[in-house]
Amino acid sequence: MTRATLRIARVLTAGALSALAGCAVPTWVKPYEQERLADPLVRPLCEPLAERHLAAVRQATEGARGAVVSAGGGCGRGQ
Amino acid sequence: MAAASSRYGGMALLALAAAVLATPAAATELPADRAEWMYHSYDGAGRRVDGPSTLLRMRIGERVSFNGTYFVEDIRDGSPDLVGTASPAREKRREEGVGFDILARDALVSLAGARSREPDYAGNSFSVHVAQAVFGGMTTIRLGYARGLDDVFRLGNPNPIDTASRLRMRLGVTQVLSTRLEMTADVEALSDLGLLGSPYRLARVLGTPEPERLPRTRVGRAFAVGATASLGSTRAAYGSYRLAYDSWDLRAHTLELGLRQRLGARWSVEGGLRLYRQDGASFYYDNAPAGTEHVSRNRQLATFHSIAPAVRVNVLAGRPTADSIITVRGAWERSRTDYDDFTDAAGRPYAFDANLLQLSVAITF
Repeated sequence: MTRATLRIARVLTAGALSALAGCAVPTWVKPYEQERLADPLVRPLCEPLAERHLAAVRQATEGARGAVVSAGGGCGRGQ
Repeated sequence: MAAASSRYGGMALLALAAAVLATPAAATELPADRAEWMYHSYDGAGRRVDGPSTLLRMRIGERVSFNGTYFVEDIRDGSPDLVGTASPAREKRREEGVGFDILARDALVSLAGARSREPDYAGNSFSVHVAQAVFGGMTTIRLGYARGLDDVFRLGNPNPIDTASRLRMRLGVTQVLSTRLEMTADVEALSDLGLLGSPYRLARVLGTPEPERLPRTRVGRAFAVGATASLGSTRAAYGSYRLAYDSWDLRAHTLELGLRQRLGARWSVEGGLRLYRQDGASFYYDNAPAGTEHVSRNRQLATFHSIAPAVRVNVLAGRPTADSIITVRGAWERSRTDYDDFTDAAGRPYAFDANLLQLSVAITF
């Protein structure tokens, strides 16, 4: 991939992300309809100490790395 | 490796900047103030690690939150692949971390740094994560970038004998599918360089112990998908699958399933099951047939599978004030691991059971 192509790709990526954030797209689930999803049973609160401990145990006992998904949500959701 | 990491690192930082500066599409909140103390324990395969850990998180103004963490691990290691080597049988590891969460135009930017110290290893890491909700809050885009630089020592030598550097980049999406269902998808790229194993670990070549020889680079990819569903006002279910593979030819599958149940106004219980299957690294041998450029008998790189049921309990223990709550949390995981190509001292395929325990008390305000 040439430098010019890479530069164009960078600009397009940044532009796409900027546009997406403000894009008016029809939403089939309104914010006020997401009450059930906001329940801690569905979206558990981030438990950083517990998830850090689990990650350390997995890293010490298993060879796989990356894309760790905490059990049903938690810190990985960006909380 | 340096040129590649510079190229991909530049792309990641640019994407992060774009996400931060983009027009806000939905509200994002700072995490709540929290003070937590946890006792953690792992006991399995001759290795016991336990200790306390603490977290303090407090808001500074309307858009910034500070957090600090401190972990202590008392490590007693009698693992079968380290017994008989110079690795210390008992040592203490400490880790300190600080971080900031910053609300920037409804994107949440998280900065974190950590350092860990043990007698023969020093680790330092830094990470940046960005999360932004778009499309009316139905979609959350997550970007992550992390770097680590570790110094490797050998007991008796005050100077580091080698280093290990790490690079992680992650992209994730959380998507609301209906009023009761949402899913997540994540992809991560990893790259490690340097001394990536233990200076004490021995391999076995034609029955003779000799120091293991690992490649000095390791490049990996991981993909994960998951979903959570509300099954009513008191029950929820979740599931996830992850595929991870790397340049050492190691490939692993992870499947997790679980169910959460609310019991009254204060209790909730969770039952989960984790299944893990790993095909070992190409240079892993229980007893290498002949001299090879790379060789290891680290069972972490072997071919094995494990099954781990777990139970987690949360209790709302009290409300000291109208704006604060005290929660007590307990978690117990019992796992069974069976190896295809790692043997014990008697020459039989090795297997072990392990217990993982977490007990914590937290006040959120």
